[in-house]
Amino acid sequence: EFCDVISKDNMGGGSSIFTKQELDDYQELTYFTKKEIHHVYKRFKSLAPNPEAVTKATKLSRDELYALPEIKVNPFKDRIVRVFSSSGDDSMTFEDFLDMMSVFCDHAPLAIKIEYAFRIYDFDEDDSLGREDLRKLIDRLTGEMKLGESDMEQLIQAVIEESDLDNDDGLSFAEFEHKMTKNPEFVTSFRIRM
Amino acid sequence: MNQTKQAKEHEDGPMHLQKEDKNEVEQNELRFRRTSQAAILAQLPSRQTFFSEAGFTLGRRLSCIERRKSHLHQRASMTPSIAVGMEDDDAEEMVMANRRVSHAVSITDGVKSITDQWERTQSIKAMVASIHTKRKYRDEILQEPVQRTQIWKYQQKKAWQNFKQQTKNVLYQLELWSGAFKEIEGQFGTSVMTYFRFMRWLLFLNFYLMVVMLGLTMVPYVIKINRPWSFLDSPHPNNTGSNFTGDDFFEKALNCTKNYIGFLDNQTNSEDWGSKALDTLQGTGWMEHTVLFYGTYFNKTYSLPLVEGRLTYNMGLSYLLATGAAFLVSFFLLVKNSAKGVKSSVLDEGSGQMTQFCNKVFGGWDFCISNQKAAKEKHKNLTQELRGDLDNQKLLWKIENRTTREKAKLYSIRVVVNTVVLGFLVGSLYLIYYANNKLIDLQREFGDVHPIVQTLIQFMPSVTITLLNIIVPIIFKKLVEFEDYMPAFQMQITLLRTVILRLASLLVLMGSLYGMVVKDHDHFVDDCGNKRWQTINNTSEAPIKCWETYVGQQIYKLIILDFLVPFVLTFIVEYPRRLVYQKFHERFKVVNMMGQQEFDLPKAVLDLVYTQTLCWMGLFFCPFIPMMSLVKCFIFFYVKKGTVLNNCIQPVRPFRTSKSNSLFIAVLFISFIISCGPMTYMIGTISPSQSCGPFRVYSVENFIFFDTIRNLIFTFPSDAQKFFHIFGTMAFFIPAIGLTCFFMYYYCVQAVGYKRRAKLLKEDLIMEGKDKQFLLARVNEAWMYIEG
Repeated sequence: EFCDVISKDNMGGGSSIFTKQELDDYQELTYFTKKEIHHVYKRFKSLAPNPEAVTKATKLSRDELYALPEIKVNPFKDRIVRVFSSSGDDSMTFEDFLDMMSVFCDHAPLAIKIEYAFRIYDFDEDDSLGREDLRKLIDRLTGEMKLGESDMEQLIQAVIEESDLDNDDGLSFAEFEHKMTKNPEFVTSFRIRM
Repeated sequence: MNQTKQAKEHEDGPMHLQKEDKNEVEQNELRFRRTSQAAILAQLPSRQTFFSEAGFTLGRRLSCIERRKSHLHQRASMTPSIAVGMEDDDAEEMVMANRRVSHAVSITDGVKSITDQWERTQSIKAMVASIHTKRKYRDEILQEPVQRTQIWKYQQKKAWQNFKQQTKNVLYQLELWSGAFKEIEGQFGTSVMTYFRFMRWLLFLNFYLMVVMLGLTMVPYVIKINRPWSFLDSPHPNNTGSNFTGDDFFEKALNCTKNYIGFLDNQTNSEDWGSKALDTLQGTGWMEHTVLFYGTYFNKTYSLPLVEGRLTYNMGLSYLLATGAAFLVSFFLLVKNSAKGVKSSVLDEGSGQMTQFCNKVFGGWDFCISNQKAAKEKHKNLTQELRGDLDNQKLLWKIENRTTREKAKLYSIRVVVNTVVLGFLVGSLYLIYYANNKLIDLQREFGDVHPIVQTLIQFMPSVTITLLNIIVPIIFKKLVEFEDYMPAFQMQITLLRTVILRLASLLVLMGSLYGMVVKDHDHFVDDCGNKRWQTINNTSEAPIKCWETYVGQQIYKLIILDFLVPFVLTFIVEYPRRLVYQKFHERFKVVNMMGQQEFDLPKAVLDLVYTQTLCWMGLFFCPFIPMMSLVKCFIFFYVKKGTVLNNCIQPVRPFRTSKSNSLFIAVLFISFIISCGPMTYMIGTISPSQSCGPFRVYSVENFIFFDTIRNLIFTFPSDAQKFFHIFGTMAFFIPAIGLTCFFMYYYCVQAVGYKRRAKLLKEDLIMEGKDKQFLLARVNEAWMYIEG
């Protein structure tokens, strides 16, 4: 931790990567402090195949992004990359990456995490978490060992019973939000620490 | 899916073919209805807000502002155009098109003054859009013409926000151990990390306690400005030399102190190096007269050369106030921490069975995990947990269908188990009490034996407590399985029973010490504030000439043991167990059955709580105890981190993070209140020793600790005295209690009212949802009619 502090200081002193305006912008538009932004940039650089030639306009492809440890083992990695990629083709620029880390950081409020979580879990992108979405979600969660068919049905039925208020056999965003604001584990699990 | 369908066809023959066709037709209809419904749904205002780049939360807030500020002007753009004759692809396209429609509400709505402008730019952070888009909107807002009124208000707000940001930056850098936390989190997830966070919180608590206690007691003591350096050098307060009566308390204190110091010197001078080392462990001998214990402190009266008269540092008063301040600080920090837990648990209405599935499915994956092995474990655990919960649900259904006979049998089993548990508790407590008393007999018998044996005998009560604390919880865990509770409740009830055991054992220790210190004894002379001042009949029982130091020594021994035993156990049990498992688990079945070490979270937390309780109980008698707890926390962090990362696997049923944190704080709070009890009783009723400590000079015959404060108040002007006297009377107490009860009742009633309102609103929502479905179906019918 002390080494981190020292290196952060060094970076703050002679940073030529970002102009002051850009740093201020990022600080205003994301939930990061200046030091954290530098740290995020460092991690972004480490993912590129050629770290020295990385600029702000560099785009990382999907496979390069998958090299980030937290994303690599995440069962929703393809959805995360899809949701945060501004060009929609699963590639991310530094700003996309910064945006993603900002949503996942500690300082981001619950509301924005819930919105992004909904988008990530919505596999078929029909703006509601239907039975198929839930099925895929549970499949991803269980990993290699799958739940039996009857167990899966019981689970999906239980989830829908608990949260579907308007009887449309799926979770709309309002219902999802309603449930997640009351879920104290959500905020602690939906984050990535830099 | 298609393959299985075909297989089924072959199996079941032509009869079932028609059913299958029917199913398919129904499915198709459903799909068609859903798609056309989707087209209508996509035009609902709520959906439009969700699609907008502002995102749902921000968009919702903006539309409220818009509604408030311009309710006269209806927005014409809200009426959607109904598309007729939708097919699958068209509907999808419409959904996608709506997605790209820019905001239904403008981000610049309601921005009038420069403060508004600044606030709106701050809220841009919450937009669900890329940084590029956010920048665009931010520039849009900044370009809007605004009235530059009340600039000072805006500047103030901005300065305050900057200041907050700066302090956050600084504090974040200073955060201790954040790198270690990340490592543990990556491998074990957040539930194990709450234990380490709790440890860090306790570390800081102990740090504050240490600063308060040592700053007010030890530091003034060791400052050697001028004489006196020991009580015997202190000048007599009535130095005029007149009016010395036989009842002079100062003279009495001097004599008692001389006697005590003589006695101590006798003991220490006849000891060799080995005994001296043993004394370090026990806190006796040469350690008794150091700043470690209460005994050496005294009221210092300086005669400074430049100042007329004398300067007295009232050590007694500062001692009492330091203890009081330490407890207040602990109380304040505890309440602050538990408030966080209460807030989140109030939100969790209908907790337990009702919401567990949603929570697990959506919040189950810990995004912090960064390690392949840990991820595999997490998958395995999640599957097991989900399966376990589904089995639980089936169990619940079974419980509802339990016959009366089964219920009766179960309840009788539960009563039996509870009695057995109670029996164990009482038995352990009696064992501790017995050990304490046996100590005296043993001392008598083995008075002249080798000092090491003597040390062992001295440690007997502490060892009994520690052993019981290890063995009995294991028994509790086995017993609770007979009671057939839901697993989460099983864990809570075992935790509760273990907590009762630990706290009760401490209370019994306190009780037996009380018996020693306050009751009269046959073999002893009562003098100088100590009931066991001198022995009659030349028994070999040691007299206690300074009972506060004696109590401090007992607690000191407990703390030393509490530090050594887990430390040694970690290295003797946990590391070898891992090595044994690694090498032998394929060959020997027994090793495989025993399994790997699981991190026992409740036990670890209870250990921390126990240490902290010891710290609170011993504060008064041994001001260095917070520092010892601090060192223990610090060292144990690294020891536990090492053992967790190297030796343990993830717990099979991880704790729910938020609930566990509030549980830990609740247990800590209970221990705090229990350790306050003996302290307050002692300060209010027992007389201090006259041979040691800052209270040795009495001011009245039956002096108690609290009289120090009373004497202080008597030195105030009489109006201030009257003010303080009111605090002690009933006229203050009873209305204060009444008012507090009233406020508590008011807040409880309010909470009940809110819960009821939330329930009603939820029912309203369900009704509205049903209305929406009905209307959608009608609109759909209308379309199909028009079309067809």
